[in-house]
Amino acid sequence: MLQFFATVWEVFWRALALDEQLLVVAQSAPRGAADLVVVTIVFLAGAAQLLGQSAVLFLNRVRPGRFLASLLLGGAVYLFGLLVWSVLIWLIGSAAGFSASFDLVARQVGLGTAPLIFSIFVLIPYAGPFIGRILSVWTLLVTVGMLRFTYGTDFFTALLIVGAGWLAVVLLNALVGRPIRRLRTQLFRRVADSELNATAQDLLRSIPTADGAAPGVSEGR
Amino acid sequence: MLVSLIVGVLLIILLAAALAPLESLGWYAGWYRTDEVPDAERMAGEREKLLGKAAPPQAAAYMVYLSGIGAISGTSIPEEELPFLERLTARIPRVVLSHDVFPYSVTNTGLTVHRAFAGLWRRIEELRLARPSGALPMLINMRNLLQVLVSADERYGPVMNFGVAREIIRSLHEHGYDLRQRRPIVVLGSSGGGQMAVGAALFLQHVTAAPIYVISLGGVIASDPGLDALTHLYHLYGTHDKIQALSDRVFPGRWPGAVGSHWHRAVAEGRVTLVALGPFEHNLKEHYFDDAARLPDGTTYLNATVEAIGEVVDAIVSGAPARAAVAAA
Repeated sequence: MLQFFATVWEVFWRALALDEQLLVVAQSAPRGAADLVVVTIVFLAGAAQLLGQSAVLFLNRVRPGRFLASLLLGGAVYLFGLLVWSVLIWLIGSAAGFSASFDLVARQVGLGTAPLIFSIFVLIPYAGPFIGRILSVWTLLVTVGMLRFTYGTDFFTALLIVGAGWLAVVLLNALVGRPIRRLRTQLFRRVADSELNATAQDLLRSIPTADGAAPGVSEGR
Repeated sequence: MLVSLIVGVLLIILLAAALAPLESLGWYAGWYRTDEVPDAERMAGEREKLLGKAAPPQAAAYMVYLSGIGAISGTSIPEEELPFLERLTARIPRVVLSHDVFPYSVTNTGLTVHRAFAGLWRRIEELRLARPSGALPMLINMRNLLQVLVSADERYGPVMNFGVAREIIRSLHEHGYDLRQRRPIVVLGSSGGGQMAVGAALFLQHVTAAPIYVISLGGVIASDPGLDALTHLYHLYGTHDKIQALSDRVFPGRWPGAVGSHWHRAVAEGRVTLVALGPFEHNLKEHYFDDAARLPDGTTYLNATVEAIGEVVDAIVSGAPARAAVAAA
């Protein structure tokens, strides 16, 4: 177990630094072990992203156990989304004449999410959203870099493939995304045991005024 | 080795900053102190308690002082501020002044009690008393500065500011404030206390419907929604105070191009008055509470600060137009 986490740690830092040798590792590692390392990184990235945006869970007064379960669900949902993106990138890459196995592309795209593990720092007051944007750019650069190694191509071609994959996700989301989004929302509501619809701006409306009326009530909320 | 050490320290600092909003958020979510979960019912109960009592004789106005980021609890504020509060109390006899709110905690819990690291903060407080300008006591400033940023952050600000407003209302209540008479409420915020005062204003005005004034003493203030609820903001500053000047740079809502922001709207509506006190620094020496440094006319900086606040308060109490107070100051 310790050995496994040591490997995750090493791969994580090497991915952050865009280490080209990771391609060799990803190609040569036994399938199960390598996949588990990548899945762990993607899962942690997903959970960290939700943790970075967890103000919404607190505002909805989600209890600690449910909070933790929501983070785990966040990791799983992100893993699923990344798998879809990997399929689309692999299809676009194949259509463009590049040859690489789906396993390899999925691993490389997964490793590209390594910077998002730092999404916990999006919690930082005031600077957090800016850090989030930096992490998004870093993630894009790492993903493009990983694909560049995988396909043996130049930066801009890899960027085009990643961008086309992203556009395909947006398109897919618009065409068939509604039931999936609904399912995701229901899952999160069930796990959090909350409607998750309270916002910071609702707080003021919940407080009684000097005139004795709770305005939230009078407004039918 | 050195790189690892730097990265490690950087990660610890970032992690500490990331954890900063959790006290407020956890409090609101009811994770701690379950007997004090804030909700509308509790607020209503407090209001009923206030309204049910016989009307006490009222002061002309009520002022709550929020200390700067060097404060460690509501009862233990930096030593240099004590003479300031004594002289200010004497200068504004018609106003009730309270200073028992620790604005960097939603539950008014000082750093030295009821906390996991209370022992560490007590030790740091001891060190600060022995050597005020030491490096370790800066941890108090860092910790409280992060809470100022929590207040200014639109994701967390409403929760933090709600908690601080509740404590201000509690303090007003304990000092005899009668909600029915709606006497002016003045929140005096020094340094980071300026942001906490403005942040709390939205909730204070909502709950009390009284005129809310903020006097910022070298305060660091974001373009906060609380500005919309203020009757007036008086920002008293030293021309050599670079900390308060940071507000114009670090908060995008105060940049010249941020037309229509809370800050620019308040300025456009004439609800913000800037008062230059003199060549005051923010802290360490020649600051607002310095009783040794003197203006050319011989007035100590401390007395000049007290007098300027006194004149603003006189104008508030007499109902004089806001700009008249500035001319006097």
